[in-house]
Amino acid sequence: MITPEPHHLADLLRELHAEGTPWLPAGSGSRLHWGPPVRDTATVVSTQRLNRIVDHAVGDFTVTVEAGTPLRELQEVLRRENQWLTIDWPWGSDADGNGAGSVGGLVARGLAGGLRQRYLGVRDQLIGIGLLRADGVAAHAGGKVVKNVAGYDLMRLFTGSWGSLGLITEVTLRTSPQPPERRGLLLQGGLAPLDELRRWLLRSSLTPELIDWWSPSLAKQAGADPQHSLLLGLASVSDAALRAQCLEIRTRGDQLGLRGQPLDPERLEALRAVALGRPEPGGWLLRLGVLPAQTSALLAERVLRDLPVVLGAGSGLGDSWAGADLPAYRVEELRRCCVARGGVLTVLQQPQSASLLPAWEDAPSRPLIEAVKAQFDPKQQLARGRLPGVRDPHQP
Amino acid sequence: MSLLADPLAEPPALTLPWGRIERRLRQFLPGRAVVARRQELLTYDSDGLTLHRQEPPLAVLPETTEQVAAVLSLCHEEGVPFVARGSGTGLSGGAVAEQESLLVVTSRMRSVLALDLENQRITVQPGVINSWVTRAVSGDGFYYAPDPSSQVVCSIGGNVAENAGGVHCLKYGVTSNHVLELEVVLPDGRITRLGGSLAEMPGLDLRGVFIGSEGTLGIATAITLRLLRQPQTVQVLLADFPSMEAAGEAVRRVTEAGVLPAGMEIMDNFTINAVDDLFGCDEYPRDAAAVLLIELDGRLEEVDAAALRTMELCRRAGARSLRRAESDTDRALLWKGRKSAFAAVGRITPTYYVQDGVVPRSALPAVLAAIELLSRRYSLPVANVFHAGDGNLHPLILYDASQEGVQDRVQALGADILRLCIDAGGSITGEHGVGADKRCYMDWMFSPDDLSTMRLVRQAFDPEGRANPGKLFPTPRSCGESARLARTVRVNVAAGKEADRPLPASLEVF
Ligand SMILES: Cc1cc2nc3c(=O)[nH]c(=O)nc-3n(C[C@H](O)[C@H](O)[C@H](O)COP(=O)(O)OP(=O)(O)OC[C@H]3O[C@@H](n4cnc5c(N)ncnc54)[C@H](O)[C@@H]3O)c2cc1C
Ligand SMILES: Cc1cc2nc3c(=O)[nH]c(=O)nc-3n(C[C@H](O)[C@H](O)[C@H](O)COP(=O)(O)OP(=O)(O)OC[C@H]3O[C@@H](n4cnc5c(N)ncnc54)[C@H](O)[C@@H]3O)c2cc1C
Repeated sequence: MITPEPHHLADLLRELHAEGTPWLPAGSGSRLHWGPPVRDTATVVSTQRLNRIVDHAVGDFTVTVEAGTPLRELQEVLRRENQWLTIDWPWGSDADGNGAGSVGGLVARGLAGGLRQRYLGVRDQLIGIGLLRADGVAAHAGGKVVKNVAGYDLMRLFTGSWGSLGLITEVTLRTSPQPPERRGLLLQGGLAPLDELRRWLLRSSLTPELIDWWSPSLAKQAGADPQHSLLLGLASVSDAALRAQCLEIRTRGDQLGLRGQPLDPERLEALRAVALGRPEPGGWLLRLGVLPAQTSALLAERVLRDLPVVLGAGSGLGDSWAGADLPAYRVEELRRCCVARGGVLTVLQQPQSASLLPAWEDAPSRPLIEAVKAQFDPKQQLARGRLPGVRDPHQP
Repeated sequence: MSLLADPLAEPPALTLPWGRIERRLRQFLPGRAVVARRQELLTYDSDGLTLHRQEPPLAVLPETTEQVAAVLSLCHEEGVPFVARGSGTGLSGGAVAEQESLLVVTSRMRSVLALDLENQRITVQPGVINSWVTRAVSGDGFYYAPDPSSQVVCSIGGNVAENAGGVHCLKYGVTSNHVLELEVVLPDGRITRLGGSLAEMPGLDLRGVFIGSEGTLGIATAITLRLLRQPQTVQVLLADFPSMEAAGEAVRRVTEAGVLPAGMEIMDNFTINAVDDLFGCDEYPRDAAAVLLIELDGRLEEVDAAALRTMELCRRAGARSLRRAESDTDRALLWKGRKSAFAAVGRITPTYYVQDGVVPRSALPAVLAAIELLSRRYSLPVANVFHAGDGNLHPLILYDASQEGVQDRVQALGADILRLCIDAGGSITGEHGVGADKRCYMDWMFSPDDLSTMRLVRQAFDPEGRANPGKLFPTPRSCGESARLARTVRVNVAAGKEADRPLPASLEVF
């Protein structure tokens, strides 16, 4: 991995382009191997030295940062002003955000955790972008204001692009005020009554930050009863309001025969950290997605019975992980379940074995995705073999 | 109005074989779906920006995705450019066929295709009117959040193309935050799907780039939207301030305190007086420099707490008086002046130009002061009514169209205001789009490399550049230095022709 000085980057990319050298954009390099294997690539260009917080416009609730800035550092700086980026720590980080990677990597992957329930995803926070194209040309789109429709939305194009279109050098994001009060609730019991509670909650006027399904195995890892659970996080300007809301939810839970355990903010954080998992080098990491109404049915599937699973109850998106001993055919079975339930399964990490599962299948817009790729990266230099929405990108 | 082309004058000579194209279209479209009579085509000669006029040589009104695909395949074969059109309420000239192009109108594509309340989503055809979506689901306690003030007329397809906003986008976001999936017919007639059933799908987010692309990447033929639960309670606060700075300070304090209102709107002294004149009573204090309207929604106990906190913060920022409305009628009363603001200003002069620019919220007081100076320098009154919460300004430049040379001055003032917005770190458009109106200002905000990078997307979707040609990007032809100086102004909301369906009198521009 090379970590060029910011002012050398453009020259370097122009050289690589002239030679047609394949290369992989990187942030801190913490999760480069996730997803489809990158082919024929010896050069990894990291943004690590692009690590300045360029401008935190405190009163405007926006922040402009260089792409290599660690997410943890950004959150710390924002916290000092009582603000934050409404994003969970990425899977595989610890409770303090160690190992969370860079802001550019976060955007390039475009994934979000349970907080999506209230705050939507990474792409919804991104209002401006600076990038270096495969040919070394610098460009930007969007800007620094929260409302802006001038020009194409390249912010969204690059969110979730997995390094396949160009090197993100700078991003401008919305920030939010820290909610003054937070509380949590862990509800445990049978899948059916929990699903009933989920439905009731989503139809109520309550707006939790987080409504995450937990599988029994995950609950056990957190020291709770090994049962299906719903972990709720609530935030508000008023503690009295929060108490009233928790009481209302617990009362409903009682009626349904569920056990409710109130959580203070520290305990809530501790539980959420358990759901960030522990990366096992040779194991599986799966990104699950099903229609929200199908989440409990997915959890009831045999293959998921003994695995740790965290799944957004309103978004239908989550993660599951397992050791290398989980046979690949079980993962294929799970993929069929997700697809049948209106969703997808992405294999982020898998054990080394002869037959690799595709990380993702073709998206319906595959030809168009390839056309966009051909425009941005005509020599197919970037992240060879890894193009989101294309199962097997063709060899150049 | 002097700029209006005489509608009966001969149209410019056409170079494409429109007779043949019409015959071929009639082979697969029902008779009512092809409009070729000049008289009828005049309906489509402008959008909400009524001084850009050009009638299309031919229009089609397809009813299904397959028909749209067949139409665009034919365009592909014949090398014909096309322009999509929803309800024609756009304010940047986007839906006008300036160059010889086929107009593809979605006004017969008005069906709800699927409703899935369990998963809080709805799929509609592009011609469906924005407010119909909420109407279709409100009985079940849901609504569709983006609410442009043209919502009783504008189409969801047009909203997608412009990435439309609304009064409540401060809290709930704009169109892009609410679209899950798009079915799109590409310029060569292929049908594709962008996005998917879930908010996050593996695949480049082409849904995200399509939204806000102003009809230059293809035609959206089915749109899946997220639905939200209706809030339990809504309250409205009204505060008046002795200075614009104080009002701006109140907005800052409220935001900082972690209270997230659904919307925050400010009216300046000029507008306050216009509104009071219109009502014939002092609804708002005439000597106030600004009034601030704040709408809070959510759970009763939270809204109550937020309202108390907000009132306290407004007072500390220097509010002179505060009103709070909880019932429907009281809320409507507080909003009434804001909603009538454009009509009120329109009574002073029948012609005004609506500008749409964005500045960082903290720059609002300074930019407003600078606009005031410009207004004096140009001797043209400017009224300011704006989305304070997200820094989206809609300065109204008032003028008397009969004055010699006034339109050049209005144009120059409008451009100077945009310049102010850019200098303050903002944008030339927050919700009305670039279209034809602002393409020549794009290079004020973006470098040639920025624009060429955006064009890469265009080349992937539309290599021949036949989708809404000439829009959004600056072109040497339309933006030569002389063309820029000579361009004359344009919007004429009060006096101009309205959208395809007349806008109700109560409808206001936000
Ligand atoms: C709640 C949550 C859950 C997540 N879960 C997962 C998960 O399960 N699996 C997962 O893979 N990710 C996940 N992510 C994304 C994760 O945040 C990023 O992978 C991480 O931040 C990478 O940081 P890094 O700097 O080490 O990036 P790297 O490991 O260096 O790179 C990560 C990826 O981004 C690309 N990339 C990095 N920087 C740039 C850049 N500047 N320009 C262009 N491309 C770049 C790389 O090519 C590579 O594909 C999650 C994020 C969140 C918020
Ligand atoms: C009184 C008034 C108030 C307004 N208030 C607001 C407001 O609060 N917020 C706001 O954002 N805007 C507002 N607008 C502007 C306008 O209503 C919006 O831009 C709206 O989204 C346009 O929708 P339409 O159906 O009228 O589109 P049109 O004007 O018909 O078309 C607009 C653009 O969309 C393209 N297009 C239309 N349909 C499709 C399709 N199916 N596929 C691809 N491209 C398509 C057209 O080619 C054109 O470029 C207002 C306008 C008026 C007149």
